[in-house]
Amino acid sequence: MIIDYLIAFLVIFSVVLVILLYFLPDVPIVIDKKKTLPSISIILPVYNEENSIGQTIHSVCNSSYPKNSSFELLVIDDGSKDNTYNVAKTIAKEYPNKVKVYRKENGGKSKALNFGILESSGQIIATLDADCIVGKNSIELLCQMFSDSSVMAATAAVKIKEPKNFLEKMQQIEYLFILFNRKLMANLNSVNVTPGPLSVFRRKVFDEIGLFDTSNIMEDQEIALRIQSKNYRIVTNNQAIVYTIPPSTFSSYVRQRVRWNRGGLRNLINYYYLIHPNYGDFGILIMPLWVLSVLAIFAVMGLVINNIITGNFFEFLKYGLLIPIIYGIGPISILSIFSIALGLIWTALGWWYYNDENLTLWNMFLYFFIYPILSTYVWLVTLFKELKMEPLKW
Amino acid sequence: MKEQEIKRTISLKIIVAALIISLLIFASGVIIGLAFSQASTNSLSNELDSLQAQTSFLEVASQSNFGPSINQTKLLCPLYSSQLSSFDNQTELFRQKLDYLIQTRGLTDPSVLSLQSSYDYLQARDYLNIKRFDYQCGFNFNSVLFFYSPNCPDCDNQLTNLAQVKKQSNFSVFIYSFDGTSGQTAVNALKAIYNVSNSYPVTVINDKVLYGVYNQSEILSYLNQSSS
Repeated sequence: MIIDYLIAFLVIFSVVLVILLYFLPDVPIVIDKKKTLPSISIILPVYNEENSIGQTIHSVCNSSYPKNSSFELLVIDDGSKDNTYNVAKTIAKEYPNKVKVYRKENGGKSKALNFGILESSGQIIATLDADCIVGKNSIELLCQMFSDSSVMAATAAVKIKEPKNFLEKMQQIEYLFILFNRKLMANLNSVNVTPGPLSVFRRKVFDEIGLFDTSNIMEDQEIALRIQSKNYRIVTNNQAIVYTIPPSTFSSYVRQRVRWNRGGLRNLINYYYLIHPNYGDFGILIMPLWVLSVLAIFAVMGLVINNIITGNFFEFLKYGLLIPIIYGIGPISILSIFSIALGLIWTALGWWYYNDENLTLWNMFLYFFIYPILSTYVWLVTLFKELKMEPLKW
Repeated sequence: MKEQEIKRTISLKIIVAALIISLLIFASGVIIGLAFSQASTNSLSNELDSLQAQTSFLEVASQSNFGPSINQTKLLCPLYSSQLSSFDNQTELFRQKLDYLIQTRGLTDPSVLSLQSSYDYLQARDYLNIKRFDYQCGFNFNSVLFFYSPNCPDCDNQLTNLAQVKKQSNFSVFIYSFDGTSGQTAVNALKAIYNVSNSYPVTVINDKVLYGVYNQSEILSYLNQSSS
């Protein structure tokens, strides 16, 4: 079928493009280390985080931000039902004039972020997630990038530290490849998400384009798309590390990823107009590839479901393994093999790029061949919830 | 343009390079894939030629006149009987491979259509051979002709029942199935011999013509009647 060939070509083109981008020199960012760093407000929305809030506050307050630059951390308790507020207030006493704790009625992460932004005074605003640990010099590294006047937002390298099980290990590798891709996309000024764990913005961004969208469950992606729509620059710094805690159970993993998928689909639909030459590489390359990749996922799922419903899938089982292997090799199977080979090359590049992350060959094998099965299941659940028109929620 | 807006650029060189490389990889994949497809068709074609050759030899041998001092029946009957089961297995395996190609490529593929036609011809010859040797040698083989049409659910059911009977049978049952609508000479000839109409499925069990679907025990009872 023609659609099989289209999907094959799309996959090949995407991977070839990413591999070529790897060999592009990084776009320079003018960093003036002598310049005094701007004042920064770090907004930390929290909800029922009494066990993790302490380490987050300590990691931020013990970071290397210069003493001669203004620094404040605003903890916004979004109506926690546990002891989060009191724990935060107690810890704040250790950092007088640095940590301010607010309490508001529960309204969701975006509303908490917006509350903090309005209460803040810094020239630079950082958003942080409550279960994260910030690297010692991460905030300083990110803020240095704003000495380049073209930079309006900067993203940190979100990583997972010391994974405890197979699922966390797979996510650890996945996050590294997300960083790898984001580094490549930054060279095309095509970063399409400012991750919740740690991202930094010029205050001017919020003054001009507004605050976080409180109706959006992927507000970190939505604001990045809004920034892109204004032709502002988003950069990334893979040395500015923030460690996050991933979902450790299958159900919480699925819940998180379905939210990402559903929110992402809505953002894609709302920002379809960015598919335009006016937005340069982002408009004619990254956005269309994003759309096509989503369509390809649904096309493949549709084909598989159709084959199962019509019984075609079970029809082929009656031939055993040998006959399909010997007599089934044709253009599509060869193109599939080529796509897998290109994917392996891309994976090898990423593995080599992160050679200090102790990624074993076995883990890479599992990530490449087993993890996609989980992703496929997540997309099936996404499709199911969309067809059921289930309300969106965190 | 605001002070901090950036000038958007399009990395045409990268895009063009990616497109060219992708097209080259894509074209290579298609060419190699088509070569493999052709190779598998050729392999099946060679296999079919080999089966045709086996059938041909015995067919010609049974029709030749070696002179009054040579007892053809005594010579060829045991030979035919001993190779029949093996030949049936080979043709069954071939049929599965051909079925797979038909499922994946369809009969619109000329090479697959050609294989199907040649296979029908082989089956027809094999059926006529088994009838001849059955008569000449006094064997009691059960030969079944089955005519179906495409997209005929009853035909699928009947074929399944026949396949089950073949598996379960204590005596030899040889099934020859044909698309009755194919218009091929060999198929039309067989239909004409038994005066088969176009009402599918049609099963001919040891020269008895049956229309419609018959369950396994009914098929077995017809086979038993013919044997006794």
